[in-house]
Amino acid sequence: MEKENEILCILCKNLRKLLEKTELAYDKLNELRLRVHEPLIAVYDGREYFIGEQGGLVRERELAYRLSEADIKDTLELISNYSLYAYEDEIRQGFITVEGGHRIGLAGTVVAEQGRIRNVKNIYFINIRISHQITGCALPVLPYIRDADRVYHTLIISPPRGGKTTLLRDMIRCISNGDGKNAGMTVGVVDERSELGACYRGMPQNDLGMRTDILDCCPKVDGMLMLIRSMAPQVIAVDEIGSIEDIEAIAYVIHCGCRIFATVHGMSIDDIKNKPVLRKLVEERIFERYIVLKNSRHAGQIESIFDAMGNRLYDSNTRREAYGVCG
Amino acid sequence: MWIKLVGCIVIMGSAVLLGMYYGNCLTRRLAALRQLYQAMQLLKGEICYRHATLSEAFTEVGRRCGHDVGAWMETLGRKLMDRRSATFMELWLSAVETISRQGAFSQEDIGLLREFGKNLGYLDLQMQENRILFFMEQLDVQMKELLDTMKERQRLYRTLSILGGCFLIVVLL
Repeated sequence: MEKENEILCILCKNLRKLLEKTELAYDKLNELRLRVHEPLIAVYDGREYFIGEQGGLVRERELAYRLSEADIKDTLELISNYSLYAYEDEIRQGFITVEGGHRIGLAGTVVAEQGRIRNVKNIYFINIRISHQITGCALPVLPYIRDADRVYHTLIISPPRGGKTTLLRDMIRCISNGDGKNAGMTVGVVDERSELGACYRGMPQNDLGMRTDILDCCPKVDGMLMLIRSMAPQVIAVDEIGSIEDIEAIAYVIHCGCRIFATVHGMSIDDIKNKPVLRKLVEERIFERYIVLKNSRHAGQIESIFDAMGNRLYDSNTRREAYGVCG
Repeated sequence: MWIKLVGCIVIMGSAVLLGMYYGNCLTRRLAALRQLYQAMQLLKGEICYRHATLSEAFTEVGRRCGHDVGAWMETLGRKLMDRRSATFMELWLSAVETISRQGAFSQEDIGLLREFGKNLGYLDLQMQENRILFFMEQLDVQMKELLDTMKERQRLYRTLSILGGCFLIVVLL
């Protein structure tokens, strides 16, 4: 019910009525896609449907409700809480995070100035990605990323939409809270795109554990250094590393004695080795564990786990599938 | 005879009270304009320096101000926070209607308030700042005009009310 309210309150009157007429289990709703003059699309339980003119999920395009310019404008007004100006930075990055941690992707006409994005105007494409935190999805990987006295530097490698952020989020929660055998650790999260904590007005909407400090909307490099100076974390977590500056900041974090959890886009360790910037990470054995995800059947399948030397510690083909996460 | 005397006293008393009421209306309007001006200063700070959304800004300014205009702003802020699928203009116009019924502002002030809401929340921070500064200038002009004429008009209301009372007594007698 809470999720339903969070979604309905950011939709304009027309769309709200349509969704109220549609019987939806909001836990299964993945995305709502709004495009001007095009049908309203819902990705529900992993499948794409249209929302009908009279409400309900339909497969026929002719029966679908087509979005007007006013629908998009009014919805955008509600998404931004009537204050587009307050989300200038987020709009420049192409998304806004709303209450509940749901991520609203925006596209329109980009206003560029001296090669840099200044703003996005005429926003007529909106993608509402419904946040689903999967509590417990990191439990199967915990034995591989920590032992009695330490946590390993861990890199999650996954293709886009492979579930790496969901897995990282739960790893943070588990390490932060601890359990009967392992004490909880202080975790610092640099959440550059508000995906991990999904902070709304600074308050995390996802559970990242009781010993977690979050730097929201902060550039990764600056954030990692700030956390070390100010919050004395034992573990630092960052999402989607890729630039040379990120790698240098990670090296600094490790030299400071912190453990690091990070994610990167890729298909395998070899794929990472082929990327000039990231190759250094593997060759210098900066990370002690590599978790490779695949999304062949569903997002979040753990394909394999490697150690720093490249030895396979877990293989989904020879052992049972570790866990399913999505997102 | 006694009845006539009592009637005259009642008429004159009412006329004087009516004159005082209209005089006080001007004082109330000035106070309300001052409150609105002060609230706008705070609103500008909330929006430009804290990057608060309109709902947060109105609620916070309302809470800080405490006076009638502040209470009105706080209510508006809470309505904006609820986001009941209404557009900002719908909520703004309804809020302006509410404050208009309180009677402190003149129709001209209410017109300015309506106009002020038109571009609020739209475009960038610079636009918000310009909009608020322009509105504050308009409020300043309103206050100056009111201050220039207030004493004369209050005296006029008092005199007219007494003369009106005398005239009514003469007519009735």
